[in-house]
Amino acid sequence: MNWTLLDRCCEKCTHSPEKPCPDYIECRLSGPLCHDDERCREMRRQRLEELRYGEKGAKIKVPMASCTLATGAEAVYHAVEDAVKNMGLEATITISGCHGLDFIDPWLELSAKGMPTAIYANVKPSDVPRILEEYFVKRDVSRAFALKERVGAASGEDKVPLLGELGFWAKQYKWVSRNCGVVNPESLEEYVASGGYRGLSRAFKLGPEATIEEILKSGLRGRGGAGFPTGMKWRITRQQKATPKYVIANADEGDPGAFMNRLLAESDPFRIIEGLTIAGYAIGANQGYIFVRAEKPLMAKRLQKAVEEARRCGLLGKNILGSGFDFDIEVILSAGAFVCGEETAMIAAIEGKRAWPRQRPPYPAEKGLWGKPTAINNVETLAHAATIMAEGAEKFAAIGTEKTKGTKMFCVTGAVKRVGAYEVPIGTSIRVLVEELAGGAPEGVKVKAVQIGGPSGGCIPANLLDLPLDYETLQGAGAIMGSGGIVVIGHENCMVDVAKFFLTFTSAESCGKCIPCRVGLRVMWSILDKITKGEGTEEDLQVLRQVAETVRSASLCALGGTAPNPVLSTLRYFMDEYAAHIREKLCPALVCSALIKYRIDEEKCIACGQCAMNCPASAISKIESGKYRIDESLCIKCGVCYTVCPVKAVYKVTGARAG
Amino acid sequence: MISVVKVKIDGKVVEVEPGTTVLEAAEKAGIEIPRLCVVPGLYEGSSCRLCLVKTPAGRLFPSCNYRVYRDEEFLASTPDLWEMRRVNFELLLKFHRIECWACERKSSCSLVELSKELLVDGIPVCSECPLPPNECLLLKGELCLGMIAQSGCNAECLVSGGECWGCRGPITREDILERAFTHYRELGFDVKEVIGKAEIYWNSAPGFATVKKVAERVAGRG
Amino acid sequence: MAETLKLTIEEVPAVAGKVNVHIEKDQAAVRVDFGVTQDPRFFERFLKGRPAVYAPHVMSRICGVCSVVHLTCSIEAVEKALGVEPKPEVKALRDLAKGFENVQNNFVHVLMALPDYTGDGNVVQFSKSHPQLFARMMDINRRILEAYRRICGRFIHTPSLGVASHGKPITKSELEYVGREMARVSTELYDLAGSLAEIWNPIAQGFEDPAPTYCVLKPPREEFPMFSNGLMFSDGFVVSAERYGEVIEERKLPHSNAKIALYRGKPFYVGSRARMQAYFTLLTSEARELIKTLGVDFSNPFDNVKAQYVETAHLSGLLAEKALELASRIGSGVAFYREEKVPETSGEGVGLATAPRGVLIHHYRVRDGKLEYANVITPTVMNARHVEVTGGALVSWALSKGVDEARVKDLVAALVRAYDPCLPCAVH
Repeated sequence: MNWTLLDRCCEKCTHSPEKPCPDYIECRLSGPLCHDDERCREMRRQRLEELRYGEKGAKIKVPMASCTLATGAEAVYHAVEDAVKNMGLEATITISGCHGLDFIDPWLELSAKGMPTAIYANVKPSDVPRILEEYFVKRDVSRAFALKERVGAASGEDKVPLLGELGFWAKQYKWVSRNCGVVNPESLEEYVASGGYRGLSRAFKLGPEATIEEILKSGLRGRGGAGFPTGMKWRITRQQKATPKYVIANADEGDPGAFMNRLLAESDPFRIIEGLTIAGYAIGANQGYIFVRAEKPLMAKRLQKAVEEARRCGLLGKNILGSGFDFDIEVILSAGAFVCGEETAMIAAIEGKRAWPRQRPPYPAEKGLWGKPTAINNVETLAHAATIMAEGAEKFAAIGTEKTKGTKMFCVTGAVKRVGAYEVPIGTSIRVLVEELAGGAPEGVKVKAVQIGGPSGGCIPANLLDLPLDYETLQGAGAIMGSGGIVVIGHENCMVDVAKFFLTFTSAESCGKCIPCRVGLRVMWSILDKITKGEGTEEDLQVLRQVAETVRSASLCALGGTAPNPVLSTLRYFMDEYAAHIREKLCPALVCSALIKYRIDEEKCIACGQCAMNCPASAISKIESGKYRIDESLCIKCGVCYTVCPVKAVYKVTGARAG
Repeated sequence: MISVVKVKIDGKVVEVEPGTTVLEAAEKAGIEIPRLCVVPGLYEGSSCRLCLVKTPAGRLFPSCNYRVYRDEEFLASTPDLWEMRRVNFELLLKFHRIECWACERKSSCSLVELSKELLVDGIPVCSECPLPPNECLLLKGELCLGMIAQSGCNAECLVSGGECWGCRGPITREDILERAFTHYRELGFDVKEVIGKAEIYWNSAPGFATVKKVAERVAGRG
Repeated sequence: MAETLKLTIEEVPAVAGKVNVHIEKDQAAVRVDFGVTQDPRFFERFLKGRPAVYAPHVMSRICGVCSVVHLTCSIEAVEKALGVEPKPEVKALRDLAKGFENVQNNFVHVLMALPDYTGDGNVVQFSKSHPQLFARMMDINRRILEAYRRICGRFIHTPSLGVASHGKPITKSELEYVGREMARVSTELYDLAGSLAEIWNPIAQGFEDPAPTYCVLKPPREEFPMFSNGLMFSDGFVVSAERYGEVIEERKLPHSNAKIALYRGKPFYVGSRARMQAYFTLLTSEARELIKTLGVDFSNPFDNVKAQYVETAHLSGLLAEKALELASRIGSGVAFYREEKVPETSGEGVGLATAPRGVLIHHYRVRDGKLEYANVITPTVMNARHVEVTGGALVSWALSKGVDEARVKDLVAALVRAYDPCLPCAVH
């Protein structure tokens, strides 16, 4: 079909970007609304089917998001193109974002009329012809990873699990990430077809005050980390008298290990645009900005494209949907500093100044961008807002805990079988997320701790995994929810080293404006460095605590204010590891190179020589017996021999046993 | 539109115009709050974090740019605030290039004032010496130990016309000692001679070992 | 009258330092023990092997009250041992500094001891019963210190005085100020004398010093000497500084941490009473008049305090003269430093100084610039045996007059105070 859902169905439609119809959005799916015509209804039905199965009744969906691209999705895409051409397949090739199950990247989703939609996992370009042949020609799905539904028409259907039955999918509540990995992120049409922009449409019908009421009723709290009630922030900003006002979407996701925002923006960018537009409408701002990390270029590109598409269809610009509300968005790339995620630093960066935070009060809601009232929200929050306006506040408020409603996206990485992004109701226990959704630790690894909240967060020990994921509980345990990044730490990680890693990050990202953060973090790092080298003393721990406390309470912004958290939480729960480093000069996890030695078990050694050949320091040589031995005085502790030994004869020792 | 606001600081109440900073209100109340970075008309402050005050609920704000618009109460002199200021100041000094004998701010330096207020050691006597760098006693051949001795005494002996013998103890920060001993050598003093004089009062001082160590290192440079 | 007596004065009040006095009388004799309990600090020993030029700075720390005399006497000894000749201005300033200390220390001691003679018992009571007098005396002290600061800086452990150097820049106008101030002080002191004489009652009138031999510095010029190369005794004997050991001998007694000194094996005394007698012809006519006004009886050891007052008045006038004289000789903003480094030679030197409390000796032997031997004999050491002997005589005298035990203790305490002993100096 040449016609898209976004177009007029016939001359009776009066909508144009210059003269928009307020019912435009509702009309896309359930229309025509202003006139009755079966042909127009049929056009819509046909188009929806086309979108579902492709114009030719067969669709191959290749996920093109940063995570899948990193695992080779582009090569897979080309392989699909080639295979379709070679096989002469009548199939539409389309792209999507990522559904968050990164452990199966890159995946393929195949759908056809009369066939169950099938997902294939960890696809290599060389697998593509076989997969396409099996699905489209042989109508055999037995080697699929999962099916979205069963239709009883393909062979092997009953052997393949339904996606909805698999724990790591079923236990999620896909509220805000419902479109991720489903729709083509570059297509406004697919967004609208999935129900997009109903939120904005409804907001216009309710008016700004009632919109804020709806958000307040939902109980939505900021998902960027601070957890401030979104409705309240919008109300306060709305109540300010100064004009013009601004709204900003914070897409400066900087935590190492966090990619929820990236995933959302690359997979369902229009939801964020819609959310920002609703925010602008609610508070009375006509200009919005999306501030994106320069290090996430695909995120910026997709958001920019979405903005241009929205403009083209009149969903950004003057008199949107006939509401009388003008709104436009500018996508701004940051120059690349973690501190830009701090709202006042972000404002400075947008204003073209050095990204230094400034003391609050006054808060941005009162005096923000260019000194005017500004509401800054995280992109996940805005996506929630759009969804809430579409689905209704009650539905959102029905999930979650008493203090915090709704769902949250979490990224689980580290020592887990199923690395990925998972959306669960607030209040879900950490254990469910780590063990049931992310599959727990891989073979031979024991979970020691879970790091929540990135470099601003803390480490929760394994015995506290039953704690629920909500703002207050986590704070009490010494961690923070943060933006939702969760790193699972296995027994082979040293907690002192983990704390040092995070401090390396925060001390490098410190903007330098205030003394505690600029100097204190460096001092803390050097103490941790001393400890990992076996040179730490009891006094060092005292100084570490003292400085940590000062940095925590006296820093100008939350970067400094939360940077000591990894140190404080590891001191709280893993004091035994610190004590071992300081008193016994050993590293229990066998990580800190100054405190460990590599040895070869001569009984296990099969004299293959792989270790010696690969040793960059030429520290391994053959001994009389023909086996190999490491010269400890030359060993640089790189661990290559440990990795390449086929029989695991290389082992590590620490402390007294290292003699 | 209120024209006067009551600010209570450490129990003392002052009336000020709305928009006054807590720091200004404290000054009016006769309460001294340490500060380094606020320069009215030039820099808005809130960087050094020394002026932080506490609300009774425990929230911290820099008094230099928190403006009061209604009656409010603050605590400015609790022990934990002073402890925080002390640690903060020590952090600032840690990477400050201390070379007071060559610094144009010697004898008018706010860091010295703060070090006395916050009882933080580590700044040499040269910082308080009234003699300008070109009239240093060392240039007259008098062996003054000021470069390697703790200040805090207002450089009394220097004011009286005599050289410093380090009665408040040695500086123990190695980078300062290195600079100092290098300077002694440049001016023609034998490092051994310096140690010989320092020994009179520092023989059993903790930290003297570090001084000797650095002296040896510098002397060994030939 | 009691046949036997055993009294102890625990820590004689209102003296510098700690001393217990034991009084024992039996059939045969009265014995008074001057038991200094002050801890020894071994100044003469711990400087061994260290550069001699550093000795004055450390020796100054023997006493915080009379630090200037230790500092300057030590400087004299070092200069002599190393063969260093200081500039005349340095010597003049050193004389001034020394003079100031004598004035200040003596004057303050008068204030401390006076209550014994006015019946007030202690200074606090004195300040209440004679408020105006007290205020004027405090003001005089303040002026003296302020004047001192102009030329030497800090009074306690003066940093500006050094071996052949004076580090504080001196200006002509400052010296003139000092001269004027000290002239005013001198006038004040002479003025006050009348009022003081009225309330200054004698103690033990008629009691005579049983061992009236004294020692003073031999004046190198026809004026009150601050430093000298020779000692003079009341029996006419004169000895050069280097040979002091021929006639002065130190001994350690078991009941005291301080040593005693003997002149040819016999007790002798030092201090203002000795100086006012020895330098009588060098005094101004007003000073001599003052002696009459106050009714000073040189044979009564209690009148050392009156002698101190006279000395203060005379010296302050002398200092005024000296300051103005020096002012006319120098330009402006000058400090006096050594021109060359002090040589690391070997030698021996004996410094003699007029300390507020008497004669001070610092005797050093130096080898290659390092101190090899040091001996310090302080005025209180020289007075120590004399106190015991005089104390014994006083007790006998008092008992013979029918004075009771309690009053005997008071008398002996007052006697000790009259010497103005400095116990930390004595033990060093």
